[in-house]
Amino acid sequence: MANAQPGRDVSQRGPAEYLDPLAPLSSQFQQLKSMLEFVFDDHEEFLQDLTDDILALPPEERFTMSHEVLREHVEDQFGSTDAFTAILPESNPAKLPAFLEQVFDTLLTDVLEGVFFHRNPQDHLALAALFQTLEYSIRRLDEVEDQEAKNRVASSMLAILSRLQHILADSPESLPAEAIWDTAYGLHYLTTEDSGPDFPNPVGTSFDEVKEHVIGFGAVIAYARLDISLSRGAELAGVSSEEFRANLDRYDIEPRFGPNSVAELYEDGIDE
Amino acid sequence: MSKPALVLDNSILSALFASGWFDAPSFYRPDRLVLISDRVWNREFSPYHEIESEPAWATVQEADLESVQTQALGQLSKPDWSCIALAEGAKGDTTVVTNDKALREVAIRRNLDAEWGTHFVIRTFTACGITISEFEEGVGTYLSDVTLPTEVADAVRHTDK
Repeated sequence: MANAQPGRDVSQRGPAEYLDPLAPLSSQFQQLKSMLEFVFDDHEEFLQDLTDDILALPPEERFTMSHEVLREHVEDQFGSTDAFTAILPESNPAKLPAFLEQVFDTLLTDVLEGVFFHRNPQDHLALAALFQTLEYSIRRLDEVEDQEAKNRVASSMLAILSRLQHILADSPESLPAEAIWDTAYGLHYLTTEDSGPDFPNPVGTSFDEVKEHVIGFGAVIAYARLDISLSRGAELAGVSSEEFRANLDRYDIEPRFGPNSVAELYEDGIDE
Repeated sequence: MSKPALVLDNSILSALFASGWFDAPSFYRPDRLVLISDRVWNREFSPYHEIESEPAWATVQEADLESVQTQALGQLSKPDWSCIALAEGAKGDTTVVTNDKALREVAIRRNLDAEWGTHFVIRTFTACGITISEFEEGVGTYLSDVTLPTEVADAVRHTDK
């Protein structure tokens, strides 16, 4: 679930553009919203009503039944889902998942850059976990076969997107606790039926424990995607290097130790 | 003139400990100093290993993190940066010994000498700082702790003295 692509020299990069973890989200959401202007007379009102209704649901419904809320809102606005589909801009709907996956991947990349410039970037890590959850939900939509399972995955995605829309509307100075709760719920519901590591149901868990899980997952993603040391990964997760290695093992991520080749092993040329 | 020094990070200390070769760096005394930063020793290594006191062969030394100037401070942890700070603050020739790619890359980028922990092990073994029986007993554990490509692992396993 945590895909790897580290690399790049970051030592000469400036920190200014990576200080606000919500900045990349804001600009990507603005682009997504501008697409909706072609479809809705008042897309702001539609989104506001939809997210309010989704967020009003308790988590066990929000992460499994939000697709029904979307369907009801679309039918209210357009008469039927078929009528809605008919007025969508001329584009191939099959390309939508790939487009969204690219958007979430860009968000993930941008928010993770903050890891290089903050000693303790908890909001960046929590958002990384959230965007990874969204990216994974797109992949799960493609993987699962039956419609009911697809609906549950779509509901998790809608629940998280609704939370993001709500957060952006509030312009908070730091990431609210609800975003961390919803990331934990999203991870739980998305992984109950897959073959990878499970995430515990957050129900009955303290916020501190939930936050620890989400930040820990964010640190694994950071290690998988950035050229940081193992010790830095452990520092981000707030655990020992040994515990962090065990976490990496859960996701089949190998520590980046060297050398890569026998030639590289001897290139140091240090002899007694 | 100051003695040359080796700065060991947690990745090599932990691997040496796991393999039963923890005291191997004593081989380099008294010709070289073996430095461990206090952050590495007190926060990364000793709390997670059954070690009662600092080894006689090492000098555990406080590092001045304020002396390290960088934009991307978050590429490494504070204990990693303390290795860099120790190496940069040392007066003689100093080598950072680590198996971690990111720490090694940063050290080299900052014009420090760096040595793979595995090269350090082989060098110590071939110079008789680790006996043949100790090496044979610990090499499997070492290679499971320090995950390396198969060809490198094979080369390490078949090192001749």
